[in-house]
Amino acid sequence: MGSLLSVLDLKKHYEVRRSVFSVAKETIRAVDGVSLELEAGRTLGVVGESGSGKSTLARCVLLLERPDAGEVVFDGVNLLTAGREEMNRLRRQMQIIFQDPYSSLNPRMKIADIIAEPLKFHNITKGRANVSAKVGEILRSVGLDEDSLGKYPHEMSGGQRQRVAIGRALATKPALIIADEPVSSLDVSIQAQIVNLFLDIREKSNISMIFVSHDLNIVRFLSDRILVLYRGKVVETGGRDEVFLNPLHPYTRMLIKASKGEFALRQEAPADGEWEGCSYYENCEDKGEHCRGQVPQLTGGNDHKVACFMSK
Amino acid sequence: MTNTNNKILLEVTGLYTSFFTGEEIIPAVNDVTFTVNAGEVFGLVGESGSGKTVTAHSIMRLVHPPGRIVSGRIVFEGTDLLTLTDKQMEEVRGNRIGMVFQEPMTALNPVLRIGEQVGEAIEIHGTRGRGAVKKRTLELLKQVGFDEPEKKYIQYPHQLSGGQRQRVLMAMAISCDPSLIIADEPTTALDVATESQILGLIRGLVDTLGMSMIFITHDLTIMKSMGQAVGLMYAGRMVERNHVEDFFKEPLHPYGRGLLESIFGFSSDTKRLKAIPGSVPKLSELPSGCKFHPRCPFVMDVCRGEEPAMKEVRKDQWVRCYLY
Repeated sequence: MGSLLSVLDLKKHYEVRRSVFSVAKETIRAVDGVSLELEAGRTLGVVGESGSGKSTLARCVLLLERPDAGEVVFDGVNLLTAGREEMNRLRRQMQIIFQDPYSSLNPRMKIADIIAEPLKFHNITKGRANVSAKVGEILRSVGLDEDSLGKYPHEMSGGQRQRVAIGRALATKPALIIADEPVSSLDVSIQAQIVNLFLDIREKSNISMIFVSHDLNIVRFLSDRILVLYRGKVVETGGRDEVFLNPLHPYTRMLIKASKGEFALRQEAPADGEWEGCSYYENCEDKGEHCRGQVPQLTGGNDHKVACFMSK
Repeated sequence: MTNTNNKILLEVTGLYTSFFTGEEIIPAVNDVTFTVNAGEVFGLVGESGSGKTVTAHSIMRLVHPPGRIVSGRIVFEGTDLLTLTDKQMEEVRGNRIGMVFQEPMTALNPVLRIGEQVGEAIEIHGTRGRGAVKKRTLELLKQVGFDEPEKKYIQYPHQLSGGQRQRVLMAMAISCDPSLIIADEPTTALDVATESQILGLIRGLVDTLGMSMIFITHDLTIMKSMGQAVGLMYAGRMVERNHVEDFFKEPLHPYGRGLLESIFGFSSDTKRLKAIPGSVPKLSELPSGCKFHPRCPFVMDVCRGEEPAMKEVRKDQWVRCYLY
C-alpha cells in the first residue's frame, strides 16, 4: 500500500527575543528537518517530551501552522502549493483532536450542533432529519447516548467531552486523524476508556492516525510505527516492536525505563552553554568524544533508523 | 522491605476536612488514617480531586477558609499538631516539616538571587553570620546536585531550568534538617528526562539524610520505585494502605486493581486495556455506601448500604471493602 502522507525535511523555526528587555533574537528550532511516511490504515506514534516539537509537527502537517521549509504530501498533493479550493476539499480528509477537550469545544454550542457543524460545513449530509440521524449515529459510535445531544460541553465530564471531540473529528469520515495528547488531561481511570475507543475506531475503519504523546505506554498500545523526537529532530524511528524491544538511542532507552517506573539514581545537573553536536549530549549516559562537534544523522534500514554515533 | 521495629513519626487518625461554601458542604477528606514511619517514603496516590493535596495541607495546617479541619488527630513526633497555637505551628513548618510544591517557578521569588533565597531559609531557622550562612548555602546547593554551586548562588530563578528550580526548592526544604518532607507532585510539571533525575535526587536525599517523606502523586508508575508504603485515595477516602511491593503485585481494593489494569505498563492484556467504567464522582454528589460501588465489577447489595470501614487484612495492609 502506498503512502497516504509523506513529510519531507519539514522545518519550523521561531524567532524569539532573549528576554523582555533585550533586542537580541534567538532562534528556536521547534521542528528541524523531520521526515516521515504514513501508509493508509496505519498508526504512527510520535513520542517526545514537552518542547520536543511534537505538537508543532502535528500542526505543521495540517498546515494550521505554515512550515518554513519542506514538503507535506497528502494523497498525492503537496499541501504547501495546493490552491484554496483543493485545500478545502482535503481538509475534510484530515482532522485533529486536541489535548484539552474543554477549550477545543465551543462552550455556547450544544453537543448536537457541535457534531452537526462539520457535516453541514462540508455539505456531507443534507436535510434536517438526515443530519440529526447522522449525529445520533456518530454519538453512539463514540459511546455516548442520546441524552448528550441537548447538553453543553460544561455539563459533561472530561472523558465525555473528549468523546465528543473524537465524534466531531470522525463526522467528515477523514482518511487521517492527528491526535495531539488526547488523553493527557484526563483522569487515569478514564484514559484507558478513550484509548480503547481509538482501538475500536481503528478496527472498524481504514483510518490512518498520527498519535502524539509523551506517554510511551499509550503510544505502544496504539501504534504500528514509532517516531521519537528530541529537540525538533528525529532521533529514532521504526516499527513498534523494533523500537520497544531493541531501542537504539539512549534517549529512547531512558523513555522506556521511565515508562516502567524505573529511574536513574543520577545526581549531576546538566552542563550549561551552547555547542555544536548531538543535542542529547548533556543528558546522555553513553556519550563519546565525537558526540560533541558533529551532529549525528539518521541512518539505518527502513525498519529501524537511529541518529546516534554510539549505536554500533 | 518494611522494618517491623520502625518508629512511627507521623500518625494521622480519622481526619475529616471539609469546605463550607454558601450552599453546600464539600467533604474533601473523609476519615483518613495512616502512619508514616521514620526513614520511610509514604506515597499518597489518587486521581485529581481524591483529596491527596487537602490531606497534605491539613497536616501542615495550611487549609484556608472556606476549608476547615473538622476532626481528627495528627500526631507528629509525639505532639498533636491540631492542638498547637499558630505560632507553635509555624515553628514546626520549615523546622521539622519541609514542603516541596508542584510549580517551582511560582514557589521562588523572581527578583532574589538563588543564594539569597536559600540563605534566607537558613537564617529564619537559626543559622547566623554571613560567612556561616553562605557556607551552608553552598553546601546545600552541592547536595542537591549542582556541580558548581558558586555559579548557581548568583543566578536568578528565570535563568534556571524547571528541574534546576526544583533542586533549589529541595535545597530549601532540607535546609533545616526536617524529619518529614511533604512533596506534592514535585515532578508533574517536568519532562520525562528531568523527572527521572529529580526523582533519583529525592530518593537519594531521603536515604542519605534519613528523612521521611509523604510523596503525593497521581502517577502510580512513579510510586513503584519511590517508596515503601502507599495510601490509595478515592473520593476523599483512603481506600487502601499497603506495602508498595504488595500493592503492585496484588492490590486489595477493586479500584486499585482497576487502576493497575488500566495503566498501560502494568496491564496483563497487550491487545486491549481493561478500563474502569464510569467516571470519578463529584464530591458534592457522592453515591451511597462505598463510593466506588457504581464503578465496581464486584459490587454486592451490601456495598450500596452503609459505607465499609477500613479493615486490616494482613499486617499493615488495610482496605475499605466488603470483599474482605
